[in-house]
Amino acid sequence: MRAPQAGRTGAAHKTGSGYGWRVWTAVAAGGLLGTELRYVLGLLFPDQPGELPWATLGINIVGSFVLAALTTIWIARPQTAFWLRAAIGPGVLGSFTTFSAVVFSADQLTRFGLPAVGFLYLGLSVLLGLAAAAAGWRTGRVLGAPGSFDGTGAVSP
Amino acid sequence: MTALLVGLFGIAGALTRFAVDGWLAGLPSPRRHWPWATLLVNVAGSFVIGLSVGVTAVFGPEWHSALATGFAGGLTTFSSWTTATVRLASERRYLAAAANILANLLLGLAAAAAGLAISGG
Repeated sequence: MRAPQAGRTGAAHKTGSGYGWRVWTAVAAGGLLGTELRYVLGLLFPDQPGELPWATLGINIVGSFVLAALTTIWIARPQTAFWLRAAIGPGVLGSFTTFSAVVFSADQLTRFGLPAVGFLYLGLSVLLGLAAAAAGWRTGRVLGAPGSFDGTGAVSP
Repeated sequence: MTALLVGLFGIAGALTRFAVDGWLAGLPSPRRHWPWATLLVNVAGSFVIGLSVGVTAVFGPEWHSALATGFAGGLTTFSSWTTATVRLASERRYLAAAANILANLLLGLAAAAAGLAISGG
């Protein structure tokens, strides 16, 4: 049996077309929510010419922390419903965070004569994203440890 | 109108990413896990966001947002990428973790530039 993978939703499960309609619907609903959240934040905090894309950077840092925390919590609590993990992990957080906008912005900054800003953006995204994921990973370990909740599953209904 | 298009394309991106993840996880593999699915969707989405630049002139800005913010944004993921890297590091697979960072960055940048070149942006 394969080890559960980060960013997937925990325990080994049916794969490919074996997912039920409930799981696909959950991912679609989560995908809608995550995409719209990112879209609205982009409208509220639009990228300024020549500056770092702060909104995307913040989104990716927050998303990395939350997904890593949930991943370790769900490893400790695999009884959490699969459709719920799919809705939040690949659904909301997968769609909320974005990779394509990061490399595209870095490319554009470089093309428009600001390679240092583009490089700084890539570096900050990787370093802060990894730091956030590492912090989330540890936080989830602590929260997911037996006895950290009352046993009725405050995190995993 | 734009918000609706972005949402619908975001759903399509998320479902595609989930399908790729499930499909690759279902393939029989003797190797230890490495986030191939995330690399695949991130490179594909980076190509799409590059391509999307040419869409504005032809179809209008709302379709550019649908493709770039919606589909490419929904298809690619940053949180799975960082979380999988931390997981590899936690298993002391430092080389695999570094390869994950470099492969996504280099191939993603190349794919975005290729999409941009094709779209004439």
